[in-house]
Amino acid sequence: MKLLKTTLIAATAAATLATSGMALADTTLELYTWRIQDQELFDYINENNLIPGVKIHANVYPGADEHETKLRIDFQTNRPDLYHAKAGTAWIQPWIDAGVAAPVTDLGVDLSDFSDAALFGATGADGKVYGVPFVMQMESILYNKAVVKKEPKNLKELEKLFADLKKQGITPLHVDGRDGWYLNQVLHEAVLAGMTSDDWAQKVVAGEACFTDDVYVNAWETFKSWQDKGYMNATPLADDYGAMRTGVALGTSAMMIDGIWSATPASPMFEIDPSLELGYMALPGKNNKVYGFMDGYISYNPNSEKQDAIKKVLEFYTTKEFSQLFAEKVEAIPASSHKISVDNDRVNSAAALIGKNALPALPFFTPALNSGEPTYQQLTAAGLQELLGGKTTAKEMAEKIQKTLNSQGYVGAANCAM
Amino acid sequence: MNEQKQTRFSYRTIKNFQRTLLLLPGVLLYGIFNFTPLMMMVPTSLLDWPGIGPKEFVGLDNFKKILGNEYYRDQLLNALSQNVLFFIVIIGTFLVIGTSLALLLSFKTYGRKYYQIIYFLPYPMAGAAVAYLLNLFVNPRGPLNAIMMQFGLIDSPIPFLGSEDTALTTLALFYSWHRMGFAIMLILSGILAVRIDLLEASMLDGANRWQSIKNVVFPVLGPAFILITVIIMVDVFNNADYTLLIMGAEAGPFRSTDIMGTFLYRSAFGASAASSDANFGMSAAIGLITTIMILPAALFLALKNFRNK
Repeated sequence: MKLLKTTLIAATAAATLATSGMALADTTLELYTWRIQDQELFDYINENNLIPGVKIHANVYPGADEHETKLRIDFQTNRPDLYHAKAGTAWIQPWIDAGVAAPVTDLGVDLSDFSDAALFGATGADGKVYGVPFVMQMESILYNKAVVKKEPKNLKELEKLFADLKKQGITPLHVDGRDGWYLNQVLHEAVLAGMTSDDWAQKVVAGEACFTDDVYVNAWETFKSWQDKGYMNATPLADDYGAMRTGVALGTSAMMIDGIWSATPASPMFEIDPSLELGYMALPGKNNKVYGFMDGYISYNPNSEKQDAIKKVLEFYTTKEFSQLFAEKVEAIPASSHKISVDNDRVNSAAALIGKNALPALPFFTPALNSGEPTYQQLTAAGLQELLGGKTTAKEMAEKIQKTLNSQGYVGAANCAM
Repeated sequence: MNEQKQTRFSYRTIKNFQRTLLLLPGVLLYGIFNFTPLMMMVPTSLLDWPGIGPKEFVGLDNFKKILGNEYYRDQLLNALSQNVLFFIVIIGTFLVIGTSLALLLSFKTYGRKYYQIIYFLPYPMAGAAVAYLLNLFVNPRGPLNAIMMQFGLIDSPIPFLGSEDTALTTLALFYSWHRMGFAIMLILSGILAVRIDLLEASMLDGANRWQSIKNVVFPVLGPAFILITVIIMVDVFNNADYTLLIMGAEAGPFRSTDIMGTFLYRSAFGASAASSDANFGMSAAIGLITTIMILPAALFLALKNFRNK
């Protein structure tokens, strides 16, 4: 009996210690993301206890669709606490409507270290900011340096290079015609930046210019002419994003229009050829600019019971320390305006291009173009697929986009009546 | 003293009780995992609900939209007609190639056991793995195009999944290749169940091998063909794994690979081209319409089984 009593006392003491230990333990927050490249960063933050009392458990669902589907299902059971959000009103609005996204100002997070351009992508239709931006992206031509030795400076030089490459049996420009997200978010916007004009882009989002304007139609006629001349892969509708990147990584294709994320160390292109060197440049049309934008922000679940821990994480995302770590560990461009020291040519030159040579308007993220159904995003994806499939002309594509937007009460409907 | 204790229940009652007990686990599992979700579709189909947030009761609006609104009705008709074509290609392949291979395997050919294993090997593979492998196989720079070009059969690669004319058939053939082992095994078991004395009698009557197959084996295979047809019909009208994995919810190019499963998925979760029009209620309504369409086939199978009993 004495032995039993002693055992019971020991067990009670152990349980008490365990309970007090639990009280002191870190709060673990579940975060959902599509960004597999951020895993090392989270590991570093957790190992070094950079957010005191908080650990981040990142659940990676590669691919924006899978991430979104997982969020839609798991929010039914009040998970996760934090999630990476895609830029643009169209993406965040359904979550706001469902009550699983809330302004960061509700938690008192200070966003004074972010520019308006960075905050624009995280802003809802109500003008409130729904997360802390953390990454900037750039879309432009990416080329294999082993194939393209000298960057063309204008369209004439680009087309001459295309012709030379074709003669050598190399596909000059590899296009993914299969993925809607690529067509609308990457290809369409990068062509706008390089081949339309700042003035037109700024006016079209304000409803003062039209998609049927010559500058837009001409850009896509030029693009289509490259396909007609055999400067593109023969079957763009059969090639997906992986096929496009594989072609450029192998050097059987010289260039592609893509985001700078493909040039980061986590890109699978370097698994195909570890010695691959990628260069990037704007589409050298009249405007000759890249498409720079805030691509991701961290948002939070206002129904989570761990609001204090959530606030700590969001505040950490606003710090200079986070920006420095992000640039070093992920080798990508942080979204804050903190001055940081980066010893990485790719990150520095891309940041410079975004800062000095990016299209000043972002139609893809503009609420006025994406509030109806089908959205500008859907229309451009479908239009480009039809253009590449030979089912429509550039002019017809432009008219269809304009006509559909007009029918939804687009802000420029009166100026662009058809 | 050997006094036998008299039982309170008759033999028939005990037998029925045993049968009920044996059936119970299956019925419970089916009820929990199949029947209950199916029934839950009915109330869900009356809602406008994006999967999160408040649910709005809309009555029969989702059905009205699907059947009456041009935007949704066109998608339904397109998905339905393509689903029928998808099914015809698959079942045609199973019945022609599956039966031929099963017949070859039924002969006492050298190494037939190995062939059986080889034919059955793809079946246990995960659908995602099969989709990935076959996608690479038919890629413009993949081995199929390379071989055909090497032999001078084509001048330039065929965009199997990039053309409206070939994409759906290519996906149907992926499905056929993956599940062919299942069809072969079912047909083979039917062939092996044919009574030898019937075959011997036909031979004695002077029938050649083809005549024996045609007049003795094929009539016996009828139930196996019906079983395969119904199972495949139910499967291809409810699932869209290959299309979703390879072509995405947009079911490109130009929705030429859209079938009921992709239409249903797209309605529930939106699509890759940034659609914000997600509605689980609409998706449930599409599921119910699909159920109603394939119900006759399921009932036919059940009635057939009862008759056999």
